[in-house]
Amino acid sequence: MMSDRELVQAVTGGRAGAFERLVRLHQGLCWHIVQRIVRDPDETRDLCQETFLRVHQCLHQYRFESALKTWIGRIAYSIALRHMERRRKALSSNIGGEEGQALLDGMNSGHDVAQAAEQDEMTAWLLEQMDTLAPVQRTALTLYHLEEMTIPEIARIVGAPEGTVKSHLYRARQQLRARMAEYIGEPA
Amino acid sequence: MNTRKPTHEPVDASVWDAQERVWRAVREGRAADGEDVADVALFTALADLPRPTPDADFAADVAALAARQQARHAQVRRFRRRVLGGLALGYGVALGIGVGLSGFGAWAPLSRLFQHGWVLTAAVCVAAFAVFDRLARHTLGRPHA
Repeated sequence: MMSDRELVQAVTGGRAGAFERLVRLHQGLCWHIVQRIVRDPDETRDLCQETFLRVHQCLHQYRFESALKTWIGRIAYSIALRHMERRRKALSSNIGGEEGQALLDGMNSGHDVAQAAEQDEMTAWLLEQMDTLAPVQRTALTLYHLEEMTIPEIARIVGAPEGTVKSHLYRARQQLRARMAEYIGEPA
Repeated sequence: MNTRKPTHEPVDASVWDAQERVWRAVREGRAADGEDVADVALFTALADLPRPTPDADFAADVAALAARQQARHAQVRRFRRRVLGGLALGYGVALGIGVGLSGFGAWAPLSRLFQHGWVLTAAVCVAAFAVFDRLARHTLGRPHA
């Protein structure tokens, strides 16, 4: 297993196959971050591609101050957020403020649910509930529970203080817990 | 005294610790007996969520795209260097011939430009380079993703 430093040196040194290896190592994380924000498989692929091209261009600027996955995660997060901002602007200028927002919300929710229709009921239900959370809460929850990242790592990715990330995670869990209690018929 | 309100909701440490205990138990596949049923159900469902996976060709596609992009950048840089080198050489030769034929009066075009000050000179150089750069990218095809 190559260390971050060895891998980065191999890529910047132009070693054959090194960049593909880097992409393979971190594509799961990138997919997670982007998909939780944009919730569209085609857009997720395009934005992940944009993320790794940016990584390739800027890798010489990476200073090893944080783990490579955190650095890549940060790039993926900002690209996904900028994309959502552009989409929001385009929709609200085409249709008008509230109507555009409503359409955007409608478009977002249900995408994962449709995808998960073939999976078990609980998965579909949970994905639907997660879709109703704020993007930063969804991201914190996904990175903490699915990618098993630490709170300081997540804080670096979303560019927020650790306390704020912990608070987002706490609120997200409390909201989901209350809905779960209702779903399984337990007192909240 | 600091009167600023906290920007995020305070976390109840006991609830947080209890949830972390449940999460660790679920992750390690241990039974979380005696813990909150809703927490156990939630964290079990979270642990069982399918991970989104990129298609099998994604890494190879991106690597090929990055290699093409890098090659195109290198091509543009090479083209730029050659044309600028050629221009400098051409100007040097023309200047040499001019100086040889009619003395230092051949400096006239440059000295006339310098008379209008370095700002104008710099602006003319930057504009000329911008036009050249655009032409170079247009000729070679703009590097793009």
